[in-house]
Amino acid sequence: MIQKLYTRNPWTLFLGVLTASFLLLVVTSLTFLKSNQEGLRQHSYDETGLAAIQVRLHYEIFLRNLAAVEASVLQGNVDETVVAFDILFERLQVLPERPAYDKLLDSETLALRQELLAALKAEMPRIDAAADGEGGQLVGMYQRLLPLEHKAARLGYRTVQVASERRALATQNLEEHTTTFFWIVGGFIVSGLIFTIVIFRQLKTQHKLTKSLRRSRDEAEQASAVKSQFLSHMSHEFRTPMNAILGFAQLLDMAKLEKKHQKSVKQILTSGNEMLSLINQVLALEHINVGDVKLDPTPVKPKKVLQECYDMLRTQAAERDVQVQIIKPDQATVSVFVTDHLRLQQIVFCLLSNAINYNRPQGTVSMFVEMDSDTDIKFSIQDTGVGIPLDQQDNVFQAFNRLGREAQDIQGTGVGLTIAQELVKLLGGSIHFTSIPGQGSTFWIVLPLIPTKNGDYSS
Amino acid sequence: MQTDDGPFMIQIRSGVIFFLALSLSVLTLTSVSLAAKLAPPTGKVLLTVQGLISMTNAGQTAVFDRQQLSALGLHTLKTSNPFIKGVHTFEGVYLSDVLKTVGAMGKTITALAIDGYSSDFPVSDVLKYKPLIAMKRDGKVMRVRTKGPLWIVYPIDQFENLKSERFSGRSIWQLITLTVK
Repeated sequence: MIQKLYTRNPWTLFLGVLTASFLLLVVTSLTFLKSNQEGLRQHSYDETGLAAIQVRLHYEIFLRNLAAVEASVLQGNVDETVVAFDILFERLQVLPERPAYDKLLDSETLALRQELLAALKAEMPRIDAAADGEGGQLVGMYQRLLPLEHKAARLGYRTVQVASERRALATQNLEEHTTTFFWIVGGFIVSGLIFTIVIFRQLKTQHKLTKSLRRSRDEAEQASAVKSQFLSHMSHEFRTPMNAILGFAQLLDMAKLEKKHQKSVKQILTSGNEMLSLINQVLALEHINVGDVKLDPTPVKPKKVLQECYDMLRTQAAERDVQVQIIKPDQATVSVFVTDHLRLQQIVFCLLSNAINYNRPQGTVSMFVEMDSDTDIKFSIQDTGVGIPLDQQDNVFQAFNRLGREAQDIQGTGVGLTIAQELVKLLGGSIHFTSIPGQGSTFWIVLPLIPTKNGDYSS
Repeated sequence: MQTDDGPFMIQIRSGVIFFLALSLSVLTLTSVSLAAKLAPPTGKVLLTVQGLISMTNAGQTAVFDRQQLSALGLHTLKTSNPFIKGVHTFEGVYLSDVLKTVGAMGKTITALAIDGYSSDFPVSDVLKYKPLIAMKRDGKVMRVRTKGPLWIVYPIDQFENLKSERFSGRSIWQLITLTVK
């Protein structure tokens, strides 16, 4: 019931799954945020479009040098102009290869670069000639390249614009993700808190329940102990007057009485004996229940036990017209083993007594002793009686249950099999039966063979 | 100053003057011997080294043409680079060899590029990472148009920490001057 309360509560399950999902989300978004931030940090050395601005700058420098050359073609001016061209050309050439610029250059800036590069390439033979001493080649270049100045300016401006838009977008993304992350963390905290409270409350309820169950158990145990003690005392108290009743009845039985009175005395004796037997059995059961039985292991001959029990019940068998036979054990069966002789006798007596009492007239009872395994011995008592109804078979070993035979003319208390079962347990064995209604029952017990110091099972 | 000094005082004074002149000439001789001469370049100057150096060949500076640099021992370095795509093979001389040749005595180097860009880095970096002053890329001589004539290249594929922005800034291309401080 506790288990049910704990696991089948749909709320607990739902909250548990919710909290776990939130935890998973927290971890995922944390990883995502981290990689996002690292992505922002990478390539950060030129995220601003600086290199494109430099292209514009070097275009201006180159133009200024060209203007100086136009003013006077001096070798110093020419050399500087050639270097300025080379720097500008290099910057423009490698611009898209630089990290980040694959993203910073759009179709417009790429087209501008292409146009500028084409114009510069067209001037390259003249630049090379100027480098080799023909400074005059540079004259007129200023006029050709001046109209492109605004394109270099546009290239720089547009790239910076794209870069700034990209940065703004990245920052916005990061902010959005951070906000989502905090919502998730919030959800996790709230759901986790509720989950904890629910679990805590359930644990409290469970604890209360356990406590009350334990109290009930203790009370029941106490009541049972009181009942046992009461029964035990009462049985003792009953035995004394019973013995007196039976003693005087036996005396009367021996006296010469009228036939009518003789019958009454016999009735007193029969009922009295039955009552005494009942008291004894109840007492025995209580002793076992209280754990007040001490075992006395001695070497026992199994076949002899069967014989002893038969001897004790021979008269009863004859009265009920039941034939009892002891089947000779096979060679493998041990002839002696160690157990409590008296208890074993009690068990077999009970089983045999039942087999005789619940048999049909002219029925038979067969007693076997054989090996159940190398280390177990088995005693079986088979009858040809009425058998046990199928719906009663579960209650066979229940105390004071006579399986609906109370009305029949069979003496008994309904405690015998219970005692037998308890005694078998004490001896370390087990008791079993099969029964077919109308055909008969077989009861058998299996007892362990306790090895002696010599290593065999006899003493 | 009074002129009534005795002959003894005059003797002392001329002794002091003599001593001073002697120490001055010794100092001059020492300094001349410290700044030893390198061979002058025969071709176009590619690299100028100045500052705290003991070997010079052009006034207070040491200048190198392509032939002189190559004579320091050529090495190749195959690496990627933050400024151009892909892995390229660079050929040139170790910056440390150049510093050794000019007898550099400082702790910091300032590298200056043709377009005026400059960057400072400690000499310890040079010893630790062995950057190359590259003259060729993939077998071709680098011109100003292709980030030449000289380019300080770090082996960034060998050292993970060289991939940072700090070292990207120190990978100067179009290098023309090194100043030892």
